[in-house]
Amino acid sequence: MTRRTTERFPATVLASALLLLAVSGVAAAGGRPDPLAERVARGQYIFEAAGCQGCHTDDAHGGQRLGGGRAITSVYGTFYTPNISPDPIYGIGGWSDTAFIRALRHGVSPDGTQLLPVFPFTAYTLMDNQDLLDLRAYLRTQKPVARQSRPHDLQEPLAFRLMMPVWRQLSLTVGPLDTNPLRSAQWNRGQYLVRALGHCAECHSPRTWSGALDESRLFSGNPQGLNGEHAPNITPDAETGLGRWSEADLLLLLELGLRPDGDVVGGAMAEIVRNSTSRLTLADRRAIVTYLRSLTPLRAEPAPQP
Amino acid sequence: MAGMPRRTDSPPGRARVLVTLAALAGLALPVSLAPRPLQAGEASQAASPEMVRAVSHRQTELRRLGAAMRVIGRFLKSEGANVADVGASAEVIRAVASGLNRDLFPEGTAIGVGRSAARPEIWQEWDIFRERARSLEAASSRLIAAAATGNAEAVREPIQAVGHACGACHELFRRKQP
Ligand code: HEC
Ligand code: HEC
Ligand code: HEC
Repeated sequence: MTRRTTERFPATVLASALLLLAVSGVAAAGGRPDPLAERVARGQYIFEAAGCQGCHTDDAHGGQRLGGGRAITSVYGTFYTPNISPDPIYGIGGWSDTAFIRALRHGVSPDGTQLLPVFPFTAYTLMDNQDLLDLRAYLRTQKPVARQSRPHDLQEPLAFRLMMPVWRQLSLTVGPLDTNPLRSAQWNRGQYLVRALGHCAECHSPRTWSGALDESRLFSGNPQGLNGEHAPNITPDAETGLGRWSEADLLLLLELGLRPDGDVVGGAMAEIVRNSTSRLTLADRRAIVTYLRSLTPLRAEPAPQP
Repeated sequence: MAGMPRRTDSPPGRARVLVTLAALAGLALPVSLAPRPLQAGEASQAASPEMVRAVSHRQTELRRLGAAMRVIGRFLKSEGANVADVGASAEVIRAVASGLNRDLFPEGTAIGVGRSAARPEIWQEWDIFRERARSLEAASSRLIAAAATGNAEAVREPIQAVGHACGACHELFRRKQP
């Protein structure tokens, strides 16, 4: 796969990361390109494409960036996202790169804690090693936040973690994602952006009884998605999905949240557009569209009537 | 949560394991990223015919924003609309945006009343809601000015700002009903 070429990363991203490094005194003096600075710039791009910031920042209460504390409520109690800033005590500054990769690839933290799938490592497991390392390099350049992660407030806190090995057995396919040699580079890039980084399936797919994504109905929508929001069918089904949307329609949705009827998406998707898809390069948005349009059209299951 | 397993109090032995598994099954489903959880149907008991009418009146008004944005989308896709059409649409947007106030959003018209998709946070965080409305007003003013130059390139950035201003309010304050 040829996806890690520098031209995919907009010059502005690279420039701002270089500036960041210069400020923190890491950048090598002189005009030669700094390999670390380049990795950090790539890492920032991956960070945005993967939408890490939204979940790990408590925007609603003016929380510091990556300091965690955002509440994710469910009928089983409230999850609070942890601090993933580089603070060595309260964040993940003390983690080795290997430990970081293990958390995203396998959902296990350095002390052996089984991470819960409310953290979408089920998608991030599909990322490739270099991208994980670049993401890690970027996270290291962020401001440390000295704030203790708040424990979850769950009804059966231990049971959840104890059941994880079973859940993992049933539901986790460890990555990285395989390239499909029969498809174009653009399609493969789109698959990677949608399946691994964008974790689009996490919201847009129905789930089986075990909570795993229903692999036979991926992207056909979830009437009971996050926040009770209905995440629509994004397969090219003409009746219940995006079958009638042109390529230009899909590009505008990813760039602006604008639907062909003039409405603008809200809720969780507005955040994805704001933090992720609108920040991608046009080439990457095109790749996403190519992948989405190649999916098998599936009918959405009808929403439950209230 | 239709179809979701319910948690019962202290089930013994094997049943408990099953309940936990079932709980895990639902783990990734019924989660909310909202700053505070909503009480579904909070306002439904109080829904007077007058409030239901207020909701449908509001939605008719908001559909004018959709119609205007649709024209702007056709401009971006080169499907027949020109810069003058963009300017006229921006005028509509500014007019509607300047009226996103208590008259259009009276208390007691949140989700649960008629077909309302207005989240109760609108009234709890009224200042933020108004700030989002003002930012749409400001973005549409910029678009009007850019369109007046007749330059097709000059309108692109202000169009982005308008689109993001719609999304920024819908992100926090609207939950589309299925
Ligand atoms: C949908 C919300 C969500 C998104 C998106 C998300 N996370 Fe998380 N993350 C969580 C939650 C919740 C936990 C806590 C899981 C647990 O307690 O088992 C977590 C845990 C973690 C942990 C383990 C921290 C610790 O102290 O054990 C790391 C590392 C992490 N996330 C990094 C990331 C990175 C990097 C990204 C982007 C690639 C990301 N997260 C995206 C919700 C999210
Ligand atoms: C956190 C949950 C979540 C994630 C992750 C997510 N979406 Fe969405 N998406 C939604 C919701 C909810 C809506 C409906 C929003 C609305 O209409 O206000 C939506 C709407 C859409 C729509 C518009 C469909 C329509 O019929 O209006 C498209 C297209 C879409 N998403 C594509 C994507 C893609 C591509 C990704 C991955 C890059 C993605 N989504 C990731 C929740 C999500
Ligand atoms: C200040 C907040 C705010 C801004 C800014 C805003 N909206 Fe909305 N919009 C809402 C709310 C709240 C609703 C749900 C109202 C309801 O269901 O009663 C809504 C609903 C809608 C609807 C659906 C109406 C119906 O038929 O039910 C459309 C279409 C719409 N908005 C388009 C737009 C467009 C396009 C923009 C930008 C040009 C925009 N809105 C900007 C708050 C906003």
